[in-house]
Amino acid sequence: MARLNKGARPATRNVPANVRAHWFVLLATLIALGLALAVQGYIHHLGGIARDSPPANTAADAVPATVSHGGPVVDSRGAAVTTVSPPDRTIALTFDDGPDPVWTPRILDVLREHHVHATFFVVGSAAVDNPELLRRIVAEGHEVGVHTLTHTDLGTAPEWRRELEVQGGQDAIVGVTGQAVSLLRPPYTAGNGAITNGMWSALHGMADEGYLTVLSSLDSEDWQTPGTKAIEANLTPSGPQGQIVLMHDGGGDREQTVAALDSALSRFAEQGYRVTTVGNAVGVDSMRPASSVEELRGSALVLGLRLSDFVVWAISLGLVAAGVVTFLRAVLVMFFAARHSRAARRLPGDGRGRRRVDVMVGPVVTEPATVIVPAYNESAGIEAAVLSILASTHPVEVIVVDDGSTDGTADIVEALALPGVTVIRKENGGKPSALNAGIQAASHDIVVMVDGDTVFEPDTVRALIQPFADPLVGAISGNTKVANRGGILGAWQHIEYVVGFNLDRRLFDVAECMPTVPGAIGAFRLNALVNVGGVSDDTLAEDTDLTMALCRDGWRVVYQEDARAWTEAPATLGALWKQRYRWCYGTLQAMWKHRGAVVQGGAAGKLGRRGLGYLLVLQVLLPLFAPIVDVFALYGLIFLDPLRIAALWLVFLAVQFLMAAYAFRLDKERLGPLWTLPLQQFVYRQLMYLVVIQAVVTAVAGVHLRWHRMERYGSLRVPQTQGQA
Amino acid sequence: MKAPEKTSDQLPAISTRGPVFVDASGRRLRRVQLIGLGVLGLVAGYVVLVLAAFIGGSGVSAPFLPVPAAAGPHETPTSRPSVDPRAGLTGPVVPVVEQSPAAVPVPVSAVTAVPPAAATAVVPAAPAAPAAAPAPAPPAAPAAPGPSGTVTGSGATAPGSSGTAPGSSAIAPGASGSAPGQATRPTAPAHQ
Repeated sequence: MARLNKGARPATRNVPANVRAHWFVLLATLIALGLALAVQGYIHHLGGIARDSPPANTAADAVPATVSHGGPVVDSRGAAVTTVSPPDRTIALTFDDGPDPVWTPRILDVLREHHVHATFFVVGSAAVDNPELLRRIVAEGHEVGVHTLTHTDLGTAPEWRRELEVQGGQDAIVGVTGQAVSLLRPPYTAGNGAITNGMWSALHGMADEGYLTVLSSLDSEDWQTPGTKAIEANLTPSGPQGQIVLMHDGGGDREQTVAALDSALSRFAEQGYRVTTVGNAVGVDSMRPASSVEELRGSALVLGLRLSDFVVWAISLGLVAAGVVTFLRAVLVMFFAARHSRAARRLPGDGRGRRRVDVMVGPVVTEPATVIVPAYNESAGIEAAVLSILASTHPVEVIVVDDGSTDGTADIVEALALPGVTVIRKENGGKPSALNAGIQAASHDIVVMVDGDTVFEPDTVRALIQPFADPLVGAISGNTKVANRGGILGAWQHIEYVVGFNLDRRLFDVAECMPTVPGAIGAFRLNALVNVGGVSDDTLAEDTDLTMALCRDGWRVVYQEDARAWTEAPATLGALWKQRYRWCYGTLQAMWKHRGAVVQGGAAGKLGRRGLGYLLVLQVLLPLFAPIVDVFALYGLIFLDPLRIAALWLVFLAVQFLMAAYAFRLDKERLGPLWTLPLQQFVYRQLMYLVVIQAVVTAVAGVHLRWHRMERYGSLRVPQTQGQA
Repeated sequence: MKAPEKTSDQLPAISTRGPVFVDASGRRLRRVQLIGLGVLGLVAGYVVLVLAAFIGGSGVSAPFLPVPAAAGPHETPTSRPSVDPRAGLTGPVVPVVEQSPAAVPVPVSAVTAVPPAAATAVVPAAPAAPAAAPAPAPPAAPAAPGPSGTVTGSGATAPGSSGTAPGSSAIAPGASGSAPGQATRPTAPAHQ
């Protein structure tokens, strides 16, 4: 969350390398994910076996009479139209919409008991989902036909989709069984008389691709689940003529179908009907081994669909995990913030309900403090910063360390000739070296560090160091506020800072695992600093590194919300990107450097397990997963119920809003800027996670970084309305 | 003041090994580049896979000539090549065929062209069922030869002409609905 740590120095080491190729990889991966989602969404959410109702438009004037009054097997390739019916006393059994994991096996069992074979018109997607069933169907000698890929109404589908659906259905069957089939039953058809113009044009087109259309002449109407008796009655032929019987093994509860099939088969046997497959009934051999090209296509389809399913499944798991983590964090953070806030208002060791009069905990800390201001080219803001510190109500000594500035920063301070202000000039060596120079020159036991672009309120230093009354406390974090909060970018950062400081930081305080004392405002015990060897330059986030080192050294690090420091936030997306890139990369470095804390005991273990765990999950893993969330949101809007997706989004937004509103209330801020919260979901959120991706890739690749400090405008001062809040 | 809770494991002194993560040798960068290439390859493979499955031309569909175009009574397509697992189970039967006017002129076609009522069908004789079929031996009588040509001209089209009609109308007759079937049963091929 928000931490402040500015005044970066240009690195003076190797030639920096830039990493860019990963954006291409990321983009390609997201596109592939989008494709997987599109495929999966198309297969599972655009078709629909359950909706087995005939199409609305029933115009049929273009259907040749040969078809509308002919036999149920239609061959219409070329100009000729031929239809056939099964011969007399022959019943061709057909089952649509399978294979179904529950009902298809039971139907197969019944068929085997009666020693009959049937034709299964399988839906391609179901075949891919239940390949063993389809193989069993073929192995037991039944015939298989195409029922499209996703149970699509070919009569109303556009040309491209007709081809895709039929070819896809074929590919699925080939991919699973290695057999190519030539019977096609379009979904939503029954008898010849029900063929509409649209369906006819579809059938006509499919005939030229080599398919025989199989309609039905006797509809069991089992898809309406009218009861076993009704289905049995429907299955009774009205005469000796051959029939193609339509039943269903998929698309719903087929208990009645199974029961009716059993009794109907017994009756057919008694009555001397021959029960067989469609191909056998009309005398065609509809299946043949697929060619190798067909096999290749089929396997590609099956594999492609399985991969897509797997990807969507994995993403769904990730989404659930991310949702749970987000909610847990919200609950956790608000719970601990409330506890911290209550504790801060109470006198220690006292009964409930007694509010303290001021910020002090225990005896008042009155000893003077040394304030170190590391400065590199801070000419724009250094004067305001130093003056604001000197105006403190607490006795302070100010040490300005000029880290080889080229803009006369040191001269500006010296020209002020202020009492109690020391200027140290040194060669440019980075912020850690500047801080160490200040630490060496410090004459008091309490050291306050502040960035050169940050201004204090008069009471800030006094409020900040009060927790040192507790001898266990080694460092204290102040409360950084955004001064330039106008504009939407400022408002977003303002919200982020308020939430970060008033929720996350209170949580870290209560859980005793503070990972960062911000460089903008922090107080340290001099001996604690010396014990950990000063400020290390191992990482770009020397403040995080230092804080973690103190935690591991056994010190408690706490948060003092009354100690406010006003800072200037980046005003452009580019500057914000650079700043966050550096923070994120530096935090990763510090986490890696102190990873050993995870297995340590005591205060170090608390930092390692709680603090590093929290950072890892919420500031590394969650942002890395975030682009997928965005792609999935698009998928949901297109293929799932858009209202439900929108509702889900609103719930998350409401949680965020509640958190932010609570943080604002704790900090006594006006709620006005919160209106930008919904917009934060768009530009800002993406920027934040892209930064994390960039930082992680850079870290893993081990390349050297170059970064830039932000432009200063010198507009900084404590806002009048906020100053004495 | 002293640190009250010193942990036994002191931090190492400020390291001299350079910044965390930076790999001057560039070996990790190359490895990451390889991984990136690998990911790109996987992604490209998946995209090609899906495109091949969905977009490939329909040139490889199953071209078949299945309908025995109004075969004469004696040249019926008898049992298919033995590849068909079902071949032995059922006897070859010749179906009822109808053709549109545009079809190859077969004697019957002139009649079938007249659509609804007069549509005629030819049901050629079914040759003797293969009695010796290696079928799972259903108890049914094996070789009851079918009647030679049960010509039911309008009957062939009736059930097909009105989709669900036969189903619904069949409810009414119930048990008696099978009357015509029973009448002819003894002569029908009792094959399953």
